Amino acid sequence: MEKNLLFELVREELCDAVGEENVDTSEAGRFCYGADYSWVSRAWMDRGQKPLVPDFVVMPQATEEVSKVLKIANRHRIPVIPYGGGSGVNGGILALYGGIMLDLKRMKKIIRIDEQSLTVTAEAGVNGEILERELNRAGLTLGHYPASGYCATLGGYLAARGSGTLSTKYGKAEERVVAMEGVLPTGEMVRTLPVPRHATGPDFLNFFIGAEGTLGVITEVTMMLDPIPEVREFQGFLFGSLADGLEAGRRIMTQRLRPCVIRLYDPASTIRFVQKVLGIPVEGSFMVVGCDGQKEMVALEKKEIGKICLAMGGKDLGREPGETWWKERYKFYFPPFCPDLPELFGTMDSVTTYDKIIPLYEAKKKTIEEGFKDFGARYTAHFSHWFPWGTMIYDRFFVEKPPQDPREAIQLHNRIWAAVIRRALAAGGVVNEHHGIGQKLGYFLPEQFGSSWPVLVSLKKMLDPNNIMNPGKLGL
Amino acid sequence: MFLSAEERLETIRACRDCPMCHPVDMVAMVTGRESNTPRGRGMILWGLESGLLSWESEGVTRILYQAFLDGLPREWCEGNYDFDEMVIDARKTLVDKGFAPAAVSIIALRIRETGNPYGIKEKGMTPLVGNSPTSPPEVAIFLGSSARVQRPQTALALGKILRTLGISFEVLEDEADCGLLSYQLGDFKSAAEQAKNVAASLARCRAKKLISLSAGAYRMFTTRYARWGAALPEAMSVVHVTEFLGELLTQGRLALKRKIGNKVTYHDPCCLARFTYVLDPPRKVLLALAADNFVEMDWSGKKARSCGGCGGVPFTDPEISEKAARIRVEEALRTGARILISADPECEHHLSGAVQGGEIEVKDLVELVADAL
Repeated sequence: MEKNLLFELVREELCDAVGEENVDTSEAGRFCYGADYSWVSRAWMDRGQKPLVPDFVVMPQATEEVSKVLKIANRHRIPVIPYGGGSGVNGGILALYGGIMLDLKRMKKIIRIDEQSLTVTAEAGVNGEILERELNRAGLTLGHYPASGYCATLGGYLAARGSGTLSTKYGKAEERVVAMEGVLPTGEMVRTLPVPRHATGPDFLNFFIGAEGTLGVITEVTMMLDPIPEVREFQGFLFGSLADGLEAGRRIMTQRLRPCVIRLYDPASTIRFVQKVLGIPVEGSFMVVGCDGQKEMVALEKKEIGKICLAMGGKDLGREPGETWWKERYKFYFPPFCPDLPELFGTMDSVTTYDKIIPLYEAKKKTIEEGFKDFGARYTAHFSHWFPWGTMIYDRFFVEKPPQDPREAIQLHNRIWAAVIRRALAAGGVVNEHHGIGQKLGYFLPEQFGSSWPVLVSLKKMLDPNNIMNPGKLGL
Repeated sequence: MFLSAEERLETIRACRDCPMCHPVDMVAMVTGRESNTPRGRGMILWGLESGLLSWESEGVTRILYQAFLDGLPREWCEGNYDFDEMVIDARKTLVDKGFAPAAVSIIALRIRETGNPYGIKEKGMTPLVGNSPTSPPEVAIFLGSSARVQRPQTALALGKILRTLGISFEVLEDEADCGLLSYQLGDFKSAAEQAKNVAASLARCRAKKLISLSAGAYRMFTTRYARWGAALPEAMSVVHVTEFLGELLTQGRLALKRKIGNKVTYHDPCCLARFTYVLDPPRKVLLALAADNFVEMDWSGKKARSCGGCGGVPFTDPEISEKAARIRVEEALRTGARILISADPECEHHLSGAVQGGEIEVKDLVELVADAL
């Protein structure tokens, strides 16, 4: 937006809505929103290219202020991008068309912990780690431990349909929502029903959950809690083949045992992450299984799980590798242990039913290793979030020496993504399981949704007639 | 500069892309701004490095001076990147280019004229703390600017402890500011000058053991002075006052007759929690004073949060400093403690300012020991 009279007038309206000290139009202040955790935005900036930045950074402290800001944005047809921790990997917060970056981190109050109902009500901008620590003081837990937990916010967890390390037992973040408050694109403040399970018509929670800010702004959430378990124990296993490990996991889940986590690494991933980052000297397909809860229940579940793993040829490595994995689980996401520039890499997760998981894995692996072998592309995968009906594959591609030219690098990056996404769709997977869609994967959604895509488009037009809410994301 | 060019660039690259230490940045906690997170600052520094921003770009100075530099991001970071040093280095560049906030030169002038950054002409501390004996004393004490100007009661308390225990001591009559603030503000010229002035004063001491009442000074003596050619006299050893009190307890020379009956909690000054890692000695003394009445805050030890008094923020952005101090006081209140104890006069000063009504008392550990004799 050109810094002309309109800019100044809009600025004054925003200052009036949230306070002058909570509007930042400085060059350096806006620059900080020029990248999220997506490879493209980071690589673009790394190669000295000017990032996409908003025109205004606005930091509201209340739902009413969010409402005022959206009304201003509608009046002037200015894009609004809701922002939490900026931990997304798919460009979900990039200011593609400038506009207002609505940073919700001042909305961080933990409003109420209900120890009778085991729920917490908190504002959407509360930091995940801070929230969890506060709950732990009361002997409770959100049960949601994503890799982004140190920086992501409660609203972000839900806007992107995130999963946490223990989601196999505790569910994805969206499964733990009880109620929500938000602001629709035209500024109306709305509340969902006080409970999530009812027979009172369609559920408005899905205007916000997974919508990545395209259908409104989440401002307050009530989430289900769990007591901190009496014990939580992890065990390591080693399988000779990935297929054996996958079958062990399937049997565990379909026999309705309740591990809090199954994390199965393919051989390449075992070397890259388990060996090199955790320092656990194993080769093959490494698996961690965790169980938590009451002591006797955990002992029983571990026993039954152990039988299944051994029946599939798994070698019991004891508790130490598993406990080390849990203790160091965030280490993978700090430099220099995480995937980093100048390498070209992407996290491509998908999910499918058990009958299709091996073909999906093989299809994606082949797409990368054969389709892009001229670039030396490598593929690693682990299986981290398990459901009663299937499992998700958390896989990555790496190109050690991508083109230096930023445009060529992005072209290669996007071609890899396009190839592997379409292969995944053909093999029965979905575009993404828990990292969200953002800008990067939006153009695949019409293919994913098929004939129901126009329904989503119509919903967007109805709720957001001026298309101000995070335009260019989710393919909308 | 305390980072090599290679280390500096590596740290910028690491921090600009990584949001993992966001929950420990107290400025970000207060303002809610992405620009006030370590990643935000890293992105700005990358922008400067790559020419996408210039040093004069609006917001660069403001944002880079809004950082407590309390060492907690580095402590939190699995990669151990020296985030604080990266920011201090950038501040130095801003000072050299003339883009630093006005507070930087004001502080330098105050220190030159009054010996402290507050610009207050102090009365000499020697008559207040106690006369130096004529024969070589057992210890010398370095009080620090905050004790001399803002919290003289802490200095008086230390004097009382030493006299009561019959430990001869001397106080520097011409004690200058230790240079920590100037260093953190990026004013290396002033910091080096102050360091050399202090080193010269210490060289005139007759005692061979230096006790630092100031955690910040202790940090400077042990980690920075040598690099500025201001090394302490070779024969002189230096300890923080809590280490000294811990030694006296172990030797049986310190008998604490009056114990604390109320619940107490402890704020680790960042210069002790990190940088010098003096964690156990103050706790040893606290346990001797309060036993089962001592309860830790959630963010304690190596992960202790800032009191809001570091990084020059009280001078450049006092409102942020006050709000951070209030967050820390609220943490203390949640423990149920009636007394919030610290081991640095500067921390005590900031935390006291954030207390509302009589909700909690803020005391320095040295004062409590003096009261217990």
